[in-house]
Amino acid sequence: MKPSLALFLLLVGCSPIPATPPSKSAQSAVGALRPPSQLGADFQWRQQVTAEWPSGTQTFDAVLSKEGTSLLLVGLGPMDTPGFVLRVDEAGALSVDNHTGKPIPFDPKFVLLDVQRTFYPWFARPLERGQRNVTAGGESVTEFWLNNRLLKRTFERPSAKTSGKVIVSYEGWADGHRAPRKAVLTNGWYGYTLTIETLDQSDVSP
Amino acid sequence: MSVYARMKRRAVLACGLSLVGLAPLAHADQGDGAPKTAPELLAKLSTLSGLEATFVETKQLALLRMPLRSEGTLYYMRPGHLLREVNHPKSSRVLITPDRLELRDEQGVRTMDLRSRPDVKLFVEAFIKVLAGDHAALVKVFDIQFAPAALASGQAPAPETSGWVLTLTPNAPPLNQLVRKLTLKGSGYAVDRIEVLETKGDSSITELKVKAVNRIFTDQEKQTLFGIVPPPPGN
Repeated sequence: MKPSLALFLLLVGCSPIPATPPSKSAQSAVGALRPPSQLGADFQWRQQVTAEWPSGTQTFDAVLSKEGTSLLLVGLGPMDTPGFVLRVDEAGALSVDNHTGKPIPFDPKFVLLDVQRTFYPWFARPLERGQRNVTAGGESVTEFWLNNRLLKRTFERPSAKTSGKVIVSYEGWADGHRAPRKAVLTNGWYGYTLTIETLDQSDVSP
Repeated sequence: MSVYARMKRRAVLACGLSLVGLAPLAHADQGDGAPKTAPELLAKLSTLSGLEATFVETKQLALLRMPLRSEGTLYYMRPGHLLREVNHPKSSRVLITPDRLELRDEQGVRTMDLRSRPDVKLFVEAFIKVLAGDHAALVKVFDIQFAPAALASGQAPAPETSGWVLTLTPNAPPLNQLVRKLTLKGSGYAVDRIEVLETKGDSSITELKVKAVNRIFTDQEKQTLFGIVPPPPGN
């Protein structure tokens, strides 16, 4: 059996990475990966991610799984076959398994930093309403809340040469769910947008 | 063989198994007694025209604690057309015909011409032989075991039950490098559960509910589901 069918399925079908990503030099300016334990209780979320950039768009399925001190992002191909696996341990060390047969053009750390910006908590407690700000990892993080729901986050780098900001907007919060139905991350630093729809979410018992 | 090559083959196989999945066995008539042997079961299948069945697949990746669940409908038409239409958690379609493999999702349509890829075609055909009930072809690829369900589970078989278990164990590369075994469970001439265990530890369970036994597809359905354009009038 030759790999061509798998390539067809995993690359043409899944194609997890946009073809024109931000340059790796631009990506190198990002911060540190936080310990997965800061995400709280274990979970497994099935998601559909659409990446849009000036010259194209790409959609892929993924599973985001936090188990103990490990965070896993699994890119899925058709028939739910794993295409790539990004794993972060408690020390923030990143490992990559790429089954797609092609190099990953994005720095995987860059992908996980967007996960971090979107889904990690940046404050100890929720807010009923209003706005708050904290500086972490060289980025100024501002949250906007209404009716105990997170509406928006912004990330700015006051000391960096890069202008603009990262904006994450949230919609579709539901009682008992830890992830919103939809989160949209617009990266004004590098000019792309990620739309992350959480299709299924489960808490995972320890 | 490289690790990558093995992984790619595994992905192909996972796709093939869960797509073809032996599901068309489910179209066999349920009220026709119980088969006593694998050849008897497969011979019955070889006479049937088609299938429409809903399915729920739970796929357990060794990487993940919780299985991935998908739901949809399978359509099979002899001699070798199969459509797997997923409607949850998101819509997608995978179509196999005797000469092409086609994937359709929100990204569009991508097609592989199987005629130009005899290596891939050979792989897909291994599973089509199951759909066709081709016992002679299957024994070249699989070791086949057939047993009453109770016997297979270690219990004494009850004479009134028609449940059975068909176990297909790949007996040669490349299949046996990827799949440990396929287990089909059913009663009468119907399959209601398919289990696939891969060598690397991933597994899937597909539960089937037949909507139409011995399905006959209209010309319109053949075109819509399988992309078969009817001949012009007068031909």
